[in-house]
Amino acid sequence: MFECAIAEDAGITWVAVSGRIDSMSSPEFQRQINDLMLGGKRILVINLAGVNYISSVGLRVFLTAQKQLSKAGGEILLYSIPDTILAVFKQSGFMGVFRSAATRQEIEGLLTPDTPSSAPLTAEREGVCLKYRERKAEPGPLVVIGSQEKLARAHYAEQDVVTVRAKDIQFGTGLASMGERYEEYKNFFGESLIINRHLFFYPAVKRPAVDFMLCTDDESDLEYKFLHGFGFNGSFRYLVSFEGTAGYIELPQLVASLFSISSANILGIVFLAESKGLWGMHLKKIPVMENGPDNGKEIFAPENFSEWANFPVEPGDINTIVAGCGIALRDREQERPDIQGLVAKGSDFHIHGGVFSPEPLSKNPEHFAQELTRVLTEHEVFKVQHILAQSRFSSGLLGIIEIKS
Amino acid sequence: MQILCTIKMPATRENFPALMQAVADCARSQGISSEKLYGIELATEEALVNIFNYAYQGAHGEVEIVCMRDDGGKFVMDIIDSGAPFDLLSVKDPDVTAGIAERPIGGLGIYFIKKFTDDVCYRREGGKNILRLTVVAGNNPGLR
Repeated sequence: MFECAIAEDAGITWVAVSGRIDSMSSPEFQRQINDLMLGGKRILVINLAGVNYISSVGLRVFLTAQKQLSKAGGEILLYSIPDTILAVFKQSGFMGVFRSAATRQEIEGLLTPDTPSSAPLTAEREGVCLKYRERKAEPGPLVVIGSQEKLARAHYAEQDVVTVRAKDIQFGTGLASMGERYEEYKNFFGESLIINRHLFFYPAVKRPAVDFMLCTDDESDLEYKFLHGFGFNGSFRYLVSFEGTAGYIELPQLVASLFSISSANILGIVFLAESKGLWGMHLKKIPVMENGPDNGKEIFAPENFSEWANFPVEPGDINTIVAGCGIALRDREQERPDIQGLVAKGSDFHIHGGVFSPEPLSKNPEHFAQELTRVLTEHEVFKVQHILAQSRFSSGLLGIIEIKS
Repeated sequence: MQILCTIKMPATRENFPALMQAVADCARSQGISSEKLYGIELATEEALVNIFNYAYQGAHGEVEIVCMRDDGGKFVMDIIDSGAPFDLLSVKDPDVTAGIAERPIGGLGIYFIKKFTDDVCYRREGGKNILRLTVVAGNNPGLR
């Protein structure tokens, strides 16, 4: 017999467990805890008052979750542990790994931050709850790379390739590849993402897999090849933690909420978010001259579209982590035509994202940089796509670089 | 040594509740304290999980549990399988002082068998692993 009841109270998730946590019930317990973590819960108070038995398999669930949460600034707290169960936790040395309390007040005491005055600013806009910190940062430059002009007719050739040095670009998106010789690297162009000078690209071929190059040195001589794209540099003016006030957030809501905290006309956005249904698009063929459609029409024409573009018909990649970047444009008329051209008419952003394996993320905006590094360098990456407006997220962290107009 | 009960079943997870129940019923019938019963159940579960996971390496096999009472009144259990030879006493104890980041997932099961019973013996005999667990009357060493 095993039961697990979940209740929310003042931002704390209480998990009341009763019965036996053994080989039979642990998979169910594990599933419940995983669901809570994937749903964005970071502080779990586990009430063990009704537990009369736990084995090593049950303890494994506690330890696995604590390891994941501790990396994300979260924690499992043990509440009201019966003596027998406490003895098993002690034998395991777990009382050095878990904090415990016997009363509600003690739990609240454990959760009160040491320095309440340093709490981040909060705002609620467009159905998005934002916690953010503002920092001193000069606006950074936006660079247009190559041109999209030859995309529609798949007319790119070697002379259109723009070489971008990793040391010159912190963040960017576009259609990119890597290599020395055009004849080789032209076969790997695909939707791309540059974050922290690392390149992730998803070759536009049958059965693609993400290729990536991690750039750990700011002065690296690494070079990336672009057909078109854009890049931006600078320091984060705002570090933000976001969460839907009523369930998930669609991307345009998130962008609108960011325009309410920064007054810049162009925002460079770098984000990590938990997907609740991604609408992502990528090319299926490389738009170089020799691949051009035989019928002479554009690749996005109805006759050619399905052969050229992988366009979603339903949301995908639910519960994964999306790491991405791009720009948002408040008033396009204020900007030069080539910058206006980076953002499709009717939209106010152009964002690419990589789909990474899930693990709980911190909710502390100050942890953004370290969380970003963790995801980019330690998580598995499955695809890189152009992110469409219908995409939904439950919560995440992001940084805003204000762009010089 | 008096045999109290013998149960033999295929070593699969589906039989876990029945095996646990048989052992608990037998121990209770001997007037074992609830503290001691915890140790018996815990050691039995950990030993069974090991057998399910590793003894037969995907092939079918059986597990047999014999509960006994020795002349001094101690509760004695033999947990027997015909799988690959495995002396769990040869396994090093985990470092239970390690912090959250360093601590490996797993490795506590065998440690619990040793900690929550009063004596553990292993012998290999006739192609079988025989794990003998002994519990004396009184307090449970693991719960102190």
